[in-house]
Amino acid sequence: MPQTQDLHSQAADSDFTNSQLAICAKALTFRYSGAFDPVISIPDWQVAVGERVFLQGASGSGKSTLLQLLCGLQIGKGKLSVAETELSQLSTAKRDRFRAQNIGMVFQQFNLIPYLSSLDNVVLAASLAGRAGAASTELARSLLNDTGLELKLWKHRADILSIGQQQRVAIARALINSPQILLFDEPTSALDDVNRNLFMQVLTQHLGAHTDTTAIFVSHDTRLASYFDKSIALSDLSTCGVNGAINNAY
Amino acid sequence: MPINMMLKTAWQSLLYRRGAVVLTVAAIAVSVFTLLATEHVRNAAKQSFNSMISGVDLIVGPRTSDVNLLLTTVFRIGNPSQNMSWRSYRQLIKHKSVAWAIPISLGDSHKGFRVVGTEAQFFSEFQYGQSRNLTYTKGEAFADVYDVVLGAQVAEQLQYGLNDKLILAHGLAATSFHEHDAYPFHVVGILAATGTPVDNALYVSLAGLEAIHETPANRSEEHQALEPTSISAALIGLTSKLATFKVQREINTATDEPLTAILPGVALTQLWQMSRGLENTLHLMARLILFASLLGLSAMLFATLRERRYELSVMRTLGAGTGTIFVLIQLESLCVALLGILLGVTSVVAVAAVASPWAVAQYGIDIGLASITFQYLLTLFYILFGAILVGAAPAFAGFWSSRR
Repeated sequence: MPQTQDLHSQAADSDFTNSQLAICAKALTFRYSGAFDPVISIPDWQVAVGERVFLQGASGSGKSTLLQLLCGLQIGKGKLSVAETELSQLSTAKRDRFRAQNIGMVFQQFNLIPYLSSLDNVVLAASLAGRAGAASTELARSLLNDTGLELKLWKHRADILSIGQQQRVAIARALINSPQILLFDEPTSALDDVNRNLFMQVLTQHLGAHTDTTAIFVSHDTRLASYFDKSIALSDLSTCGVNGAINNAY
Repeated sequence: MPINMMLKTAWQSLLYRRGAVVLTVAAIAVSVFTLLATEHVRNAAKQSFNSMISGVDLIVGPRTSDVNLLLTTVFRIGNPSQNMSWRSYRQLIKHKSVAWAIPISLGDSHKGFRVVGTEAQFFSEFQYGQSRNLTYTKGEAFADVYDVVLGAQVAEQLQYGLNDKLILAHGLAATSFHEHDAYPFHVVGILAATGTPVDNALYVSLAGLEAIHETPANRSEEHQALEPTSISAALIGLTSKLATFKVQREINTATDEPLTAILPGVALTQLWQMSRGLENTLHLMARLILFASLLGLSAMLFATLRERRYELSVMRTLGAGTGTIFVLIQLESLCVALLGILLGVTSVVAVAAVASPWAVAQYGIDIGLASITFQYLLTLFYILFGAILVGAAPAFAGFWSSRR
């Protein structure tokens, strides 16, 4: 690990205290155990509250790892504060709680618990955030309604839905806890044009109504960049020279 | 996550894998059935046997082993090989410590049921269970030579009522070639069910037995005066329990005829000791079967972990803690175990209910539900505990893999 980065992060400590930042990373590096080179190395990155960022990157460039860091499933070296919470300071249990309450995620696929109904998948997220109850169920219904998923499918097991339908349930689920941060990992890559547009429509509708919500949308599909305030390439953000070179070789 | 959501999730997950789950539940049900059924039959047999001899202080018969005398005279298992003389019996009842005596004469049968030759005091003195006297559902004790009183099971199985006529057969086979068909007996009484071997026999007077075994040539008209020359055994009640050992020694050391007097409780204990090895083996087998089925449960949950990789990681991203994952998998194993137990217990209850009349008829053992005890609940609790133990392995594996 380059020592200069550690020094740099100490010097920049004051930057974390008085900002309206949704995400603030300083000298953040992450390396899988056993691997020699870091997958992620971010010298400095800030995302303001309410900002919507399109993050573009080739597959294997560490996008998923970055999202795992942001939601606290992995802890890297250096500083990473999300929703004004320094994740490395939290215990594992508190991080789980934090993730449940503050972060909504949608992946490319396998978003849902296959044996639960669409509605229960959404309600489950509320339960895990400690918000079980009739109000949550009501909210889940209204969110599913917003996604345009047909009513008769709500009680169906999630694994019999089409991918497009599954992604709509997934976004409803990501939104149910009104999270401060929304993370998307190629959510539209498995969708056809119609479903992709539907997905983006649901998303922009929600973001339009919730201006405080910060969104990080990772995709290689640059056509979607227009939906967002800002578009950055992961390679500009993360300076993983060696790793990047390997990734480009794929 | 609230417990109802956990239960719902675990339950739906099991439904999703219902093929493997149904088989695992069945395996556990079979093992629970084996365990409970062996336990139940054992308890029922002990209860029934103990109940049968509860009022008898001594059993006196020809010289033989204690257990043999007990089995042949009271439980009517096997055949008495020798008799004791009527003279000895007469002497015995004159003993000052003897309060009552019931002679027992075995050897004949009716359609597979034993015929017991005895005297009227059998109906008044014999007690079973906790000092319960025999009662009649119909009729009364025999008075005449060709009167017969039926045990509850005999009447029920053979559909006999009062005043029906029946013919006794020599020996014990259901179809005997040697029937005493010249001397039909009248049913004069039917005993109420006792749940002991009493229910499975027909009771006639000793005089009646003598009468049908007489050759026509020396047939006597004075039936009431008929006296047997020997009987199989006698059940004795003493005036004082304190005299038991003294009387027993006196009988065992009597010189004019080699007799055996046994304390039925002691003989029964000997019997249980003899069967303990077998009992323990059965018990061990049942436990091993149960263990195997629980291992099967564990293996089933283990096997599903691979296909649940995505599902578990989704849970994690939704904020489920590793502890929650652990509990979810544990809940599944508990649910499977509970279902297995439920099914196993239901089958035991059903089989006990269906087979009860047969068991009473064949062995005089009441395997009805009355004998289900608190002990079983404890056993079921242990099974659940076992399920938690074996469920911990896959739960921990899930917990561990979801950490990364």
